Amino acid sequence: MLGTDMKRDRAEGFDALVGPHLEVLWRAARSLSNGNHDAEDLIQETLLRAYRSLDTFDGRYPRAWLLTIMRNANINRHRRRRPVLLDHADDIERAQQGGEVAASAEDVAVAAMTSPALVDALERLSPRHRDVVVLVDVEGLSYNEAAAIIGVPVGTVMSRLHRARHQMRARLNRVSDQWSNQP
Amino acid sequence: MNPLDLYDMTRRRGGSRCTEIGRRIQAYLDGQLDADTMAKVARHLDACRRCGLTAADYTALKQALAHSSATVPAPQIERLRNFARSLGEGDLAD
Repeated sequence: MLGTDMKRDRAEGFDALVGPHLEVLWRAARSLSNGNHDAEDLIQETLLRAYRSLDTFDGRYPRAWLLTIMRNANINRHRRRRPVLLDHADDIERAQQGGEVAASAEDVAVAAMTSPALVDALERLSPRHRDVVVLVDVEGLSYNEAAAIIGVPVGTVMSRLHRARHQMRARLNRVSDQWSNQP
Repeated sequence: MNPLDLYDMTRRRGGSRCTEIGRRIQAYLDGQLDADTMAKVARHLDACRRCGLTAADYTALKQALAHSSATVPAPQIERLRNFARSLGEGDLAD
């Protein structure tokens, strides 16, 4: 059992540890969730898990540590519910579930966009490509942070992101050409 | 003039140098290249209209996506900060 001083140090240490990363956690959680309320629930679950495993954390890369915990918490909650993000298996499951899948990462980003052409270009991406665009370009996470939350190597994030932007650019250019060629 | 710039200005459209730079444009815009390569790509983009336009497209796309991000709501962040604090306080009360 921890003494009072150790408990106080632990409590204050946790507060100082997670405080600077709450905004990034929020952006990541929003990309994994259906709305703000859902995102807040996911972050609370993440913080709870982080606090419980604080003794095993080596103190290095707290942001990556928190994002990895969030990823696992998200996988766990979707075992009980439905898949929202991320990889091939999820893509398949998502396709199998068809219209039952609720708004997620990309839906939230799409809803915030004002350009129909941009929305269309994002919606036409495969889910795995759309996810990295939302995490990196919309929510502003770094390649490393996106890799931690998706659970793939940084190189995979980069290649997916580049391919996704390439497809979006091509799509937007086609739309632009159509407009400029109209009589 | 830097020989590479001269090459960029006189190269045929879509030449091998454009192909090489084209593969690095996105990483360049994301600031993911080493300093030497960043400088090399920057020089090429200054000199090559076609690659410059490609970079401008990607820049516009990144800016449009970044602007689509909703702001982080301060009340929720404050609630989460309090939640994090409460975890430790609960521990202390045990």
